[in-house]
Amino acid sequence: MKRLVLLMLLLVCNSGSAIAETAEQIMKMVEANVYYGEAYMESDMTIRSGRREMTKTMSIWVQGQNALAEFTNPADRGTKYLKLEDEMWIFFPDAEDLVLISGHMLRQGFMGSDMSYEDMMTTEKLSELYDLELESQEDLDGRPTWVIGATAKEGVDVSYAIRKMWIDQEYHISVREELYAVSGRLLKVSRVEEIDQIAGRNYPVTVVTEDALRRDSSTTLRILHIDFDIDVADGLFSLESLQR
Amino acid sequence: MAGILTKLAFRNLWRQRRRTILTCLALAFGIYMVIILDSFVGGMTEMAGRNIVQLQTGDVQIQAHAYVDDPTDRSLDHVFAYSDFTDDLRQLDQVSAMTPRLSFAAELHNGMDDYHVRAMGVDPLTDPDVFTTQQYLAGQWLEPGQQQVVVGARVAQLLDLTVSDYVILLTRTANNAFQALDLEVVGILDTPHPEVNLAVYVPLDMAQTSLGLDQAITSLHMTVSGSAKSAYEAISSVVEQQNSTALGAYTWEQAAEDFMVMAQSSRAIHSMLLSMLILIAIVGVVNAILLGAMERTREIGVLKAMGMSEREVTQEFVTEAFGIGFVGSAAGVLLALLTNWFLVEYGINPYGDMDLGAGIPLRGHLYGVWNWTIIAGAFMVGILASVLAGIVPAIRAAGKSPIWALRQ
Amino acid sequence: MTMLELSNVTKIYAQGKVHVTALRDVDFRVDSGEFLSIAGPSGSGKTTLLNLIGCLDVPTKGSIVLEGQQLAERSKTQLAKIRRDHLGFVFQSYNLVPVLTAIENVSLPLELMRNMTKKAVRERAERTLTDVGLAEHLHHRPNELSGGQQQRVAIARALVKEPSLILADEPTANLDSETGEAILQLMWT
Ligand SMILES: Nc1ncnc2c1ncn2[C@@H]1O[C@H](COP(=O)(O)OP(=O)(O)OP(=O)(O)O)[C@@H](O)[C@H]1O
Ligand SMILES: [Mg+2]
Repeated sequence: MKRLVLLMLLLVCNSGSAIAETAEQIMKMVEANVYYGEAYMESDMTIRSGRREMTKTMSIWVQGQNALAEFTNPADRGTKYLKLEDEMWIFFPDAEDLVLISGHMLRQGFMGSDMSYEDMMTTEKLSELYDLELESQEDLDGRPTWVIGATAKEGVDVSYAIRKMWIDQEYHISVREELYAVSGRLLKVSRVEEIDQIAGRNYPVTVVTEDALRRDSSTTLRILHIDFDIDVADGLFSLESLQR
Repeated sequence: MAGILTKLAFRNLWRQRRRTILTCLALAFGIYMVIILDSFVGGMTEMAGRNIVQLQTGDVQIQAHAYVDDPTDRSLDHVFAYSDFTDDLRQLDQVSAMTPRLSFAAELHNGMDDYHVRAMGVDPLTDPDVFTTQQYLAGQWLEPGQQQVVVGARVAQLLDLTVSDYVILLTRTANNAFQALDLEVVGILDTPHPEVNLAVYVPLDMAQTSLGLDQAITSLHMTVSGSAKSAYEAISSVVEQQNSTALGAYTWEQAAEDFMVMAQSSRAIHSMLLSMLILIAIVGVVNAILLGAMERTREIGVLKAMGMSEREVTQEFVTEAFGIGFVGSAAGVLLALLTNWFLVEYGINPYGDMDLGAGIPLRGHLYGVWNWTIIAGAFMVGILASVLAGIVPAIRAAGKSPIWALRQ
Repeated sequence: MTMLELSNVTKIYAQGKVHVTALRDVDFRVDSGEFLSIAGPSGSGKTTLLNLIGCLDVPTKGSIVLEGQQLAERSKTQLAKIRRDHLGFVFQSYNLVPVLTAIENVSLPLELMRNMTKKAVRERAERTLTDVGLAEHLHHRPNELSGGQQQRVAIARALVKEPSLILADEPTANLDSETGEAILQLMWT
């Protein structure tokens, strides 16, 4: 659920600051934004595929590397996802079945969305997996961004051999990201559509991910409510809590 | 002496010719069904086996045990470099052709929809030495190194593809990274093997480069000449010499386990058909002998008064049972031979373009087979069952007291 | 010479709880070459008597000696052999084998004996049928013959193996008196 973490919990350094010199430095700033504290949020996810559209709502608890998501929309009510470090578990209430996502299942879409479990599970920092290069500076929606190209390092296992990120120069948030296949073909685009200030921090609250190989296919993730000041109950991030 | 009993038996059969003919016909029908259905099952098994060998496995294949143990494993975790084997295999007289294949999981996208397929990197030059895939090809065959794909008919239908369309093949490299290949559809394959029709074929070298696999393949397929067993053993020993415990040689029967399960079940059909035949014989013959004995009660009494022993009376009725069995079986066999000759020579097309599903490679023209064991077996079983079925009612008939019989 | 001797022969038929005594203490003797007629009203036990003499049934009591052989305690197979080798039957209702022609019916007893060549059997059967005046009807089936002719075939069948004893149970009952006369005449000779 790292991507959720990445996408939703980027802590903003409000320095409004000086132009960074290298891609590495810029990524360090972005990664420094990642907040590993505690948070509770309510969010929804709208999956569009052609003319079909469905919305799922969920409550999410985050604490460091662990996260728990519980679906609250009627169709999926009670379905829970638990991320424990680098493991992902799902609990299906109807079957009362607990499943560890592993192997080829990691490549499947999360709840039918355009994000695979794998996308959400990556725990390593991008700067460790990719060679980074500051390609240019562009204005995106009227805001200045750095454009950083990332190419997978030799021999590392990553899903996307090439990435391209647009980093907001003020917020140090990646506001647009393009994911490419080895062949250089664009596979996915995700972009931050809305950034809100919550409790004094800047947050991407609406993120849209599109599958470039499927026409009219997109997943929109919105944060409706976020609360940083919570007490996480003991044992919340455990397999036992999934089956409760 | 046997002469008079035989004469009596056949005269009596003839006297009740309507019943005799009906009983014989029932038996003949049973024999006929056994032989023809067996021919069908044999034909289907042979056809399916041939399709598996010619489209999927070759006679013998070398591949990782892991893929055979878990057929759902579509990963690239167990690939091997086949250049280690090729020299040694070429030395074998039994190996008349070989070709490498690289099987991997992929999604085929047409811009609108996508479909999970089994993708197969094939060597465009040597693949036709082992497989007959090209016979079913509409359009062009692959060329080495080109960004081309030949798609199975079912895939083409599902994604609405025609020759010269462009598609994207999305897969993972050996390093697990997404790879998307822009390919031109050069041909469409409509084969009798449903699995092939759900697969796509690309040039092996292009696939290896794109997946980051240097010369690695998932299976090496061979056509062998002479004894399949000795060829298999020779190939096995080549694999063993390479000390690669992860790999093994597999005959097509071992590689196509699902199919072999089906072939086994055809043996169950045999015994079911034979039991049906035996039942028909028993019911028909017991009925005929019981009725005959009842109608001829007086006659039996007279014969016994004239000094015929119970053994001889029994023998007379058993001879009648034998006569029914022989005539019925012979008629059934003769009819079956005629029909089967037609089935073997001309075949029929029972399924049309229908797909039997379950991955059983059966489609198109079906030919019968000559299975002399079952033909001779059905003939003998027909006679034997009739004779055995006749014995009990014959003994009963012979045991009747002559005075009681004469009073009737 | 004594050919047949019955002493104290009693036959009781047991039908469930009802016991019918068909014969009671019958004694008599017959010599070779004798022609014996037994007369009695219907139900008096004529057929029962013939069945006992003909080894088709066994007496409840008493003994029957046929050609010096005690019939009691013989097995079914042995009785069948005695019938085959020593006895000839003529029945009231002819009882020819319907699927066999006249000559085949007459050949049947000889064939059962298995001691003659086919040719000899044929010649003997043909001669016997000629003797009873059916030379013209050798190859007719029973249903192609009149009652008198059928009974003559039956007599030929009984005579053909030259048995020691011929048992005829009302052989003329189903025939008109003239034909019956002729049949009786035939048996005399
Ligand atoms: N198998 C049998 N079971 C029971 N009773 C029998 C049997 N056979 C004959 N009887 C009885 O034994 C008696 C003698 O019968 P049998 O047939 O010997 O007489 P019959 O003198 O031959 O008469 P008919 O002139 O009518 O032929 C009769 O009362 C008859 O009912
Ligand atoms: Mg009587």
